[in-house]
Amino acid sequence: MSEPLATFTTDSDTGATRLRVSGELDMSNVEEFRGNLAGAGSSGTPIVLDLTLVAYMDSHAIQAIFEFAENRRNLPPLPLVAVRPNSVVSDLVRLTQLDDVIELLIVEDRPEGEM
Amino acid sequence: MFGFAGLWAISPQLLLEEIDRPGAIQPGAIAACVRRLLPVGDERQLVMKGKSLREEGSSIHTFPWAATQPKRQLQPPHDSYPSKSGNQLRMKDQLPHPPEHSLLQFFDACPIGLVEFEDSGAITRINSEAVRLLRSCAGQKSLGNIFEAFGSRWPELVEVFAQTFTSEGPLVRDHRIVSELNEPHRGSSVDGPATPTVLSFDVVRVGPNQNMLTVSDVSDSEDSQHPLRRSEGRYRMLFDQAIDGIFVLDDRYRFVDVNPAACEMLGFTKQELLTLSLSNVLISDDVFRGQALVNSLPESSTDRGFWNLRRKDGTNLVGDAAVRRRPDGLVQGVVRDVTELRNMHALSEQHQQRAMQQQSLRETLVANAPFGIALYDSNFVCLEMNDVLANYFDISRDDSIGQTPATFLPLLWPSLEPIFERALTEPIHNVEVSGFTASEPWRKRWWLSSYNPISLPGEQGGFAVQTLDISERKRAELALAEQQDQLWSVFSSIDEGFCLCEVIFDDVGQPIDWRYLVVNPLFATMSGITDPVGKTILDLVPDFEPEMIAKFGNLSVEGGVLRFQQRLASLNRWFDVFATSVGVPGRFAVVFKDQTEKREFDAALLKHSKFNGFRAAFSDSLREFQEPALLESRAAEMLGQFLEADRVHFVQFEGDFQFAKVRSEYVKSGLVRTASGRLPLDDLGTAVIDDIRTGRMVRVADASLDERFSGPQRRALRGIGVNSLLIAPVVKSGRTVGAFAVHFAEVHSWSDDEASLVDEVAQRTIVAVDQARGVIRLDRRQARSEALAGALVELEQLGDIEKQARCIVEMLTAHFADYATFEVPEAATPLIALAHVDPAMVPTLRKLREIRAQDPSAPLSVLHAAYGESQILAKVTDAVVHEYAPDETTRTLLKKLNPRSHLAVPIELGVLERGALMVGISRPERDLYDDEDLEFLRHSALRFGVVIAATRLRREEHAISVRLQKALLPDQIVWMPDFDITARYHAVSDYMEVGGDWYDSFRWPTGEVGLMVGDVVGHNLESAAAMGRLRAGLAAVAPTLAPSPADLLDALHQCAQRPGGSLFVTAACVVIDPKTGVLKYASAGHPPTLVLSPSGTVTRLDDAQSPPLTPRHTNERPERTIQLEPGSLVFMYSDGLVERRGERIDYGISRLERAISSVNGQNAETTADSVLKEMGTERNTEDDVVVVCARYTPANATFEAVIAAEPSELAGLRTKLREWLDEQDVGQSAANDVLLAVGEACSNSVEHAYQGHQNPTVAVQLKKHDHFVVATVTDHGTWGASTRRKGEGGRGTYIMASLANFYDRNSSPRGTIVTLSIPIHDTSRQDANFQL
Repeated sequence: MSEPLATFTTDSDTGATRLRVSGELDMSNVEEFRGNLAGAGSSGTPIVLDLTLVAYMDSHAIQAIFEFAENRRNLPPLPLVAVRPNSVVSDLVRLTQLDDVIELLIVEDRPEGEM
Repeated sequence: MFGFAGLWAISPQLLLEEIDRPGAIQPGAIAACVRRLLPVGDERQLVMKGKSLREEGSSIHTFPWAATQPKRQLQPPHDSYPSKSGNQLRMKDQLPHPPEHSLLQFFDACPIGLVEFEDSGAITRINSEAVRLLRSCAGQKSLGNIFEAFGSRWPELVEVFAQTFTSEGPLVRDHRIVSELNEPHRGSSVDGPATPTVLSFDVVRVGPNQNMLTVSDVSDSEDSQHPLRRSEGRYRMLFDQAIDGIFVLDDRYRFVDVNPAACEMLGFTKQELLTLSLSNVLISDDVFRGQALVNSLPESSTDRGFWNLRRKDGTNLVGDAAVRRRPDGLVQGVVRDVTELRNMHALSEQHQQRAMQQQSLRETLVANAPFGIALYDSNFVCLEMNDVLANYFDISRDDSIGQTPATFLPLLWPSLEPIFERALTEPIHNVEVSGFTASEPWRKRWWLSSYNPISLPGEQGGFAVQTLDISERKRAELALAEQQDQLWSVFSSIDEGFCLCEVIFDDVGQPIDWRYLVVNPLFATMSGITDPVGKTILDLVPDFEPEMIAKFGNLSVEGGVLRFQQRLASLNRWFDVFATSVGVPGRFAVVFKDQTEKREFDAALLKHSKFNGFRAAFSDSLREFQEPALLESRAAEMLGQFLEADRVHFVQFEGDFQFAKVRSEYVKSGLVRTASGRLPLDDLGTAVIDDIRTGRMVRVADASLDERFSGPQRRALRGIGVNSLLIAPVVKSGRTVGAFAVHFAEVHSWSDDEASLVDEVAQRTIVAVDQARGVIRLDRRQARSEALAGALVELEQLGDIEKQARCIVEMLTAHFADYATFEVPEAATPLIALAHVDPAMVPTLRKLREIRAQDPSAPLSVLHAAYGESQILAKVTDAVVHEYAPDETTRTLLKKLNPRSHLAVPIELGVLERGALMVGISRPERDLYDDEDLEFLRHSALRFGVVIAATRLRREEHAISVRLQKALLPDQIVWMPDFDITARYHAVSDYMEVGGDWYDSFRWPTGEVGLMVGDVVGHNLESAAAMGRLRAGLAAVAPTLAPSPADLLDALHQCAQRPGGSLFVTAACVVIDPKTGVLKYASAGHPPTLVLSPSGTVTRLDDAQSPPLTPRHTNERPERTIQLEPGSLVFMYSDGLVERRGERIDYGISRLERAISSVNGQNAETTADSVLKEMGTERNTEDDVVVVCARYTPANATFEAVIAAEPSELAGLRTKLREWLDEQDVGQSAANDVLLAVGEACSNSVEHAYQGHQNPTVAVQLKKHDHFVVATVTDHGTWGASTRRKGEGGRGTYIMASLANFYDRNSSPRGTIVTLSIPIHDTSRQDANFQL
């Protein structure tokens, strides 16, 4: 395998745990995504899932987020999911009504350099 | 010698000579006479009474009819009309005699009518004969007036005068004018059979500004040759018998002839004289003068002079001689002895000459007079007699002279003798003697004579007699008199009054009275005046109308006739009067008839016709008006104006005849209307009221005298300005309900005509009013029935009971009530609808309803009606209001609402629900409700309830039907990637019943697609169910059939013919092969399928028609094909889309074609929606509509890839897809959708399909069509439920179906094919019809 399909970055500088995903998420790396989600959630701090740099994801990723949110139902606040507008991700979040279980944050014009 | 008073006989020639002498007073007049006479004959010479013309000044004698005299003095010179018994012609005694005989007297006595006038036409003198001849016109002041007076009757006379007054001045003319008209010319005062009178008129100028008109009656001479005209040689005789001495000398001065007078004058015998010459009888120098005269005297000239002659006895005498040379050359001298005159009176020479002249004339005149002349001595011996006289009596002159009349007129002598006796001593004028001559004892004759005593030379005395034979005139007069007698007898016997009167004038000539001269017996009867003759009208009727006196007075003077009708107030009678002048100025005759009775009859007739005219006008007026109030007031007005009454009431009696309510009133202009509009009847008294009550007419001519009224009643009547009244009661059903009352302020005696007219007007008005009311009621009933029908139709359209309630109350207030409420008090949601004709009153009404609505115990609670009880309050009284509204607030509101009449009825809304409908009237002009109105409201409520209940039920049923029908239609139409297909069903409106329209689609394994639209005729659940059956049946058999539209239709036909399923069905069917684009079509009585090419051309597929699918078998099922271009649109529909009421279906199809063209290029869904909108389907309430719209869209780009069924392969596939999608330019959103959908499909295949397979692969194919990308993902594995992760929930499938407008997963043991279609260039993403 050459380049990984997606890269995962976790930080907790601001008192919350931020998981930033970059690349594509499908059935081939969904378990990795799932693992990163679990790692981020284990900190006990609020979770920010930054998907603004995800170019593609499918129902497997959505399923992973559902499961993650389900597991954190008793740990408010809701995970904050950042997406870019008019993207495959934002369409999919809406289509699957993922925003019922997470807090959706639409982030516009995110500079590339912040990656 | 003749005395001064003797008669002169003047020969025309001598007269001419006389006239020519200077100083003569009337030369013109005489000349006119003479010139007039000359052509007639020598007999008609002039007799002149009197002497010298010069001695008479014009001032001596004033003619009474001179133009300057006042009218009063205009006395007729002759009593020339006959009196009642008048067969005598008397000369008027009053005729003024001039003190001396004169030429003026001659002028007057001239037997020729003479009128002297000025150039202006003003008459200066007129003589009696002219007056006689001109008759009624003689009184005129100027010739012009005569001319005018005659103008109408004698046009010829006009001509005479017209010629007279030319620029040349009056000329001599001779005009004979025959009167054949009824001009009372003969002196008759009454028209009778006219004798034609011939008058001859001449006009001659006799001096400056002096003209003479001569008028003579030439009737006689016209008729017969006057005997006198034949005697030409009488001059000789006259010569011989002349009084003057006549000498004839030859040129040697010898006497060749002398007359006896000459002999006598000179004392020689004739024989002696004939031997002598002039010198023997003349003295000294007169001899030479005489000789010179004889020598020099020109022929036909006369020398006049005095000569001294010597008699035989030597005595001298002075002779006045007229010497003339005769045509035979001899000289003739007429000599008169004037010695005595000269000696006795020492008159001037001129005077002596004149006397001599007169002497000589005397003899000549006797001989030549136009009358008979005779001289008698005191013994009645005839001394002289002219031939005229001899002719008059048919005697010989020679035999008579020297005899007494006892000898030559033995028959007449007895009557003559007493006259002769008198004549010796006194002049006797105009003695008329009649008798027979010896030669004609069978023919009575009349003579008129005047006797003048004369002194005769050597005699004791004697007299001259001038006589005129008046037999002809007399006979005419007698005939006339006879006619008069006959006329008189006629006038005595006719039934008209007749009178002849003489006008009495005042000092200035104005008529002031008249005196009755003659009346007939009927006069007294007619006029009521008895014995009037000799009395004046003012004696008899002192207050007689002055204008009538003036009228008749003027008539009597100016002539003419009058005819008029006049009422003489003084006699209180009407007369039809014919008055005529009678030819005598100042007199007139009147024939009149008492027209009083006829007038009264005429007046009655006129009145009758007036009444009939009124009746006609009244009838017209009754027809003209339909409004009862207008009818009444118009009747009152017409009656009032016609009768000229002061007031006319139409009243209605109230309270047992205590009051009369004035419904309509007419008052004469200027009078005040009855203020109250309500009159107490007490003023009339019980007797009168009883009459009215029993329907008897009341007539009061004078209330102040009428015994039916008491004093106070009279005063009361006076107080309202009534003194005379008539009351005509109007009885309906035996009861007096009203009356017409006509009032007069003054006393008015009511005629039967008037009374019956009033009665008639009253009865007819009531009938007309009743009819009008009936018509209005009928109209209103019809109007409200129509309104009810309209409201019912509207109610059916309204699906909402609140709207229906609103509609009902509005209809009721428009046609039936002033306010209306519809309430359903016990509904789940209490309903109330209100309406009032005055929108401002609605809040009041609403407040009232809110206050009372919830109190069922209240007497008029709406609940009573809602419980099924109808109420009618025909008249809302205070008591009712009080009972209903015990509290002040409600009473105030009620007072504001002011209900006068009220109805409430229940309205059944279904099995369990009930409402109440209440209506009321507040406006005063509306009639109160009656039972009929209640019945109408009940009936209306019943119908409203039925409609409301029915619409509710039907609405429910419809909802069920629509649901059913939608359920019966296919959930999903076939999907082919090469087709963009949409179907629409439009259930038209809530209240339309369901239809049998359907659509369906079929797909064959070989790829063909079939589309069908159809219509099961009928709009109910059954047809919907039948449609479901048909569709299900066909769907079952379709896969077994060849892909042929004709076969499909046949199969459908068979389905429709199943037992119990005999249906009438139309359908259209197409089958398309997407690979080739070939379309096959067929139709069974269905509107043609349309095909729209990409270029915009629309084709009707109407050439494969077969009959509708009916129970009849059909062999023919034609089928045709058409090649579809990519992008073509196939449009199928049911007739509901194109059918409009009143429009040919062909037109609707054309409209559809245009609608389809206008949306060319859109996808199927957009096209279908646009066309439905464009065709007005949203508004269509008539039929339901199905539409199937298929666009043929074969792919124009393809992507194919096969990947190993490994999760790691997916990212690479996505990369390729992104590149392809970018190339196809489908848009970012669509590209994302395709990536997601295809990714999920592939994930499924990788995840589920290949468990245990060797080299598993997944094939991905994408085709880009115009509006979507169709993706096919194929694997050869088996999807298993067991492999699905727990909790995954099929989210991947969900995502695919959500993103695609078509998703299909076809799994079989050989593998799974997932087909999905992602729309491109389109934001809409999903449709309920295609959701899985």
